[in-house]
Amino acid sequence: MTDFLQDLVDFFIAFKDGILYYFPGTGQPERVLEFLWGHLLITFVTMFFAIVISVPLGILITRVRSLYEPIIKLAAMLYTVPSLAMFGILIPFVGIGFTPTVIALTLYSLLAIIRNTAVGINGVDRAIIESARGMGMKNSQILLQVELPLALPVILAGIRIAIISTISLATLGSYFGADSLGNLIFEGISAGGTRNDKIAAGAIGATLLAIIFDYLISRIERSLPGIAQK
Amino acid sequence: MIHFNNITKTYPGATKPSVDNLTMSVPEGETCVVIGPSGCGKTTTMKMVNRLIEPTEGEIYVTGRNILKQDPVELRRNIGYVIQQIGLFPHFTIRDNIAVVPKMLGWKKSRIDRRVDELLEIVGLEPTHFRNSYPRKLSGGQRQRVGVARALAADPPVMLMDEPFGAIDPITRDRLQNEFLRLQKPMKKTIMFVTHDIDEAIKMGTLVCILQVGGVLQQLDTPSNILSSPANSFVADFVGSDRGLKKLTLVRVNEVMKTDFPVGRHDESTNEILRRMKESDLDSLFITDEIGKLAGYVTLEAIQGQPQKKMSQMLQGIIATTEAEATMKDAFSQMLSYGIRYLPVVDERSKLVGMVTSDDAQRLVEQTNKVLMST
Ligand SMILES: Nc1ncnc2c1ncn2[C@@H]1O[C@H](COP(=O)(O)OP(=O)(O)OP(=O)(O)O)[C@@H](O)[C@H]1O
Ligand SMILES: [Mg+2]
Repeated sequence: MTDFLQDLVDFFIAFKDGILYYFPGTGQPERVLEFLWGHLLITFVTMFFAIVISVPLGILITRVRSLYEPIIKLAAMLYTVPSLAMFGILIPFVGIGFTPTVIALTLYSLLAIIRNTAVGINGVDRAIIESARGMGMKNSQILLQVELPLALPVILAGIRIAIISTISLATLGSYFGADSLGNLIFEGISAGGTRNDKIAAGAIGATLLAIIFDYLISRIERSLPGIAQK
Repeated sequence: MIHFNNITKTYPGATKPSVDNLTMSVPEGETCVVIGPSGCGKTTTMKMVNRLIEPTEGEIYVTGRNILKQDPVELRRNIGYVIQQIGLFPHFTIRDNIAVVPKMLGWKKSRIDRRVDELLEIVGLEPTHFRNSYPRKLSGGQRQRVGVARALAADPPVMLMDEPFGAIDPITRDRLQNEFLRLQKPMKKTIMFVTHDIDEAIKMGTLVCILQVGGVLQQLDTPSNILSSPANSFVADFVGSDRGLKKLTLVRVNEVMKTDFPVGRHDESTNEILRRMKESDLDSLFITDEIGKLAGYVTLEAIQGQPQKKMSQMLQGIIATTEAEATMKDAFSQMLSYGIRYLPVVDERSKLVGMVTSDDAQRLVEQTNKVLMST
């Protein structure tokens, strides 16, 4: 127990040193900001493509039932590919850097968003859809005004899972030449145990980012009309 | 107005049709209640009218047009649709729920706002209070009121109602039925109304359509004729052996209620009230407030020899009331279940407008039994 506490204390001291090293007046502040920006850029671009691909696919498989199984299975298969192998496969096609990182992370995000979109839409009360159709709403109106808004909490939950795993996996991008907070971690590792403060700064930075995004999405979920207002 | 021409519906994979060669008409302004045992094809029949289900064979005409040659979306916007599960949009305010069809029809915002408030008034929901609430804040009865308002929004000539009051507690259901009858009187919509409750069918319908399992039409007639001359033994069984009692469903409270009877006011002196009761030989008297709202009742026993006590101290609370549109069966069953002989009739503002007695009900049963015996 005391060992664990000692480790924890060491860890925070290392973290503090890492931050101080990189922040104003102590070292290279512009590099941390650069890594942070790179990390955010990977996350945003990945989530943009993941949502733009997954939500329509999720809708499609609720409309064409026969596609449900194959598409979910494919996304699940992609999800299980080990991350190093995924980069290895992509590099011959797109080279190293930002592009393979975003492609890999997008592929990992598909499953959570496709599945939650389909589950969310299928979970909408049949009576609500029937009354919408009975009033003369067109299919597109039913989708946009009724099904998607009502499925939104479930879709957002999927996006939340995807964004957190993207933020955490984005650190790996550094290994393949995409700048992110992972750069700090890899620099720390290659210093062979003398610069654990860098590892701590990179890891905690990424974790804080994940927590912040998780919180922001939960705020959006809570502000949805009619659903959240108890 | 609604005309079924040799309609048959066989679901894919089914061996027998769910609706079998149905030909019937609902004339303009009539309320046709479709009734029959579970699974007899009531919902299927109704949903073919707004093309939520397509018939296998036959044609359906609504306001003279073959609906199978019409754009379903346009058709549905001219047909009000109310279902048991209501199906309000939980993420829309009450106003936006009611505004769905008017919006699609391109009405101006000011016109929609006026219409929403008007409809909320009509279905008995205070607009300022309900306009901006979300459905989850409403009780089941209030939600179905909104469901009815939504169906009426663009003033469609035809309404389809599938067990609209089926999931609502009996007391609220009676009230909603009465309100709907009150609404329908001036509106004169052409209505198809599905139920599995024969009392509701007789109460709500100007026509009753009885289906047998497999969607086979057994009888389409007025409620009175269904009760007094069932077409076959299936109909007779379905209507039940208590047809005499059911006939009470055909008689509205306002057809038999007394309207001129002594009433007291809560600000009158005890002596005055006492004198009035003795004059008319009554042992109890309804008491109203200054604007005619029913406040309670007093008994002779309670006020005799208590001239110093105030009226308000001796007033007893009313345990049951009925409405002018209610049926005598509702009224009678209330009197029986509360063990009372006089039932006050109130309007929607709880003003006392009349009174029915258990003697009235008894007399009606005896009369209708005589009629039934002789036929
Ligand atoms: N979508 C469907 N596919 C196949 N069969 C169906 C479908 N909908 C209804 N049926 C069948 O058609 C018959 C009539 O169903 P319908 O729902 O019209 O009956 P109903 O009179 O409304 O019954 P209830 O009183 O239970 O509401 C039933 O035997 C039912 O099983
Ligand atoms: Mg049904």
